[in-house]
Amino acid sequence: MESKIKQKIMEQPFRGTALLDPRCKGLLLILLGFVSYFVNGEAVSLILVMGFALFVSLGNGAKWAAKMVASYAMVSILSTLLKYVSIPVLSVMMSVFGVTILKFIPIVMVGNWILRTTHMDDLMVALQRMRLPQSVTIPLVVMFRYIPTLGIEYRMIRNTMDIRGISDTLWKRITRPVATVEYILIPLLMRCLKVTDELAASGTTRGLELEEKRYALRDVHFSLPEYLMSIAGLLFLGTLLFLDHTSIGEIILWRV
Amino acid sequence: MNKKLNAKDFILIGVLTALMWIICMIISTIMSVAGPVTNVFYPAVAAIPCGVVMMLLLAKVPKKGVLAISAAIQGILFLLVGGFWTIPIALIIGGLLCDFAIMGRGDISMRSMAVAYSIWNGIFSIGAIVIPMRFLQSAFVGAMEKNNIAPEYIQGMIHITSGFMPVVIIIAGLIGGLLGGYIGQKALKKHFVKAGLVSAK
Repeated sequence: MESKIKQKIMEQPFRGTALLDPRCKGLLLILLGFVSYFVNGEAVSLILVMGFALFVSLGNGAKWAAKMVASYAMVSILSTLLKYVSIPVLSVMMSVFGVTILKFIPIVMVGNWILRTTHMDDLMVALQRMRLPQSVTIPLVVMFRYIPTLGIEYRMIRNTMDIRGISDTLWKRITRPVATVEYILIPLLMRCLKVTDELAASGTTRGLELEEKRYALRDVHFSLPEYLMSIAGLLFLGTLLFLDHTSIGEIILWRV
Repeated sequence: MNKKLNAKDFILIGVLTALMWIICMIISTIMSVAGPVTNVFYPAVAAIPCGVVMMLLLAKVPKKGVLAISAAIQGILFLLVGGFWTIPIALIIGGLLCDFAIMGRGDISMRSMAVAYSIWNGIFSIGAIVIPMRFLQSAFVGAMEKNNIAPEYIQGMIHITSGFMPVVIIIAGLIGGLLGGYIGQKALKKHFVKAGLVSAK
């Protein structure tokens, strides 16, 4: 029986870069966030997205990466097209909107991939090995687990509102913002309280509160592959920052 | 009463902080797209729905350190999505300050909760808008210019943060926090205290 359970735990649906240590993935995400703010050339930004798409697609995320790269190209072309149209207020708004989306696409790509390919147990062990106190590890782990669930909860609340006939239109949202916030936020909060109770019961029985050192069946180590990957990521991003100041940064890719 | 935080409190902090951060991200994106004038006031507006969540969190777990932990986690999340580096620092410093200096003595009451939240929000608007636009203006504007943001928008941003406007922005942040706290406590009394989920002092 015990060996069966062990086998079940050791089964890995992931391969390639998805097996990296959660700390390594988090480090890469933070670096990406910093760099994507300072990289501005169109060609260099595209290389940045492509590089991380390759990294994601090496670990169970090929479809997702392809989708994000396609949407990146589409938004780029659309925002270039918009430069030829000038509507007084709207074109300024759309340019800012386009830039925001372009900056967010690589972060969303890597962030969502990390959420899907990281076991929360591994993350917990990894965070504890960083000697973070429980007051940081537990909320962080719970939060990463809960962010995807919030979307489902929101849709369920909207369904219930539809059933009871108090669904709001855009017009109602603008004219009565307080009521809208109340209708959506209060049920969501009720749900949060309930989920907390359940999670606490489930977590306590599995030893979430343990202060002692944790052991893991799957090995969670910051070892050679992680170091190599971190150094490769640093080099890649550093090169991009350097390229951005050379003539490559001024290449205009998207023109019609 | 047990004053130490236990696992259940940590889980509640995690869940509600996730909700608060999502609300904050949605509002900040919408308002920064809508124009330079609305962009600088997003901490104030985001504080109103977030206030409801924060009041519930503080009323459900009236212990020391809750605001600080929640602020620190929001800071880490902003760091992960590539926010300007002044935001996480302001959030964490503000959280520590409000938690231990303002709500520090004695029991946490409804009034001290609202005041602490309001001041925390004021510090957040300093970190998110005032420091980047006033003290690091050249770096911030340079990054925006290279990002192909329309020059009208950048001019608008510079214009709206010149003169004594930073004071107005900070005051707006404080008022937004107070309003959020007030609405939050009203919602708390209307929905949660009646249902017996929270006991309000």
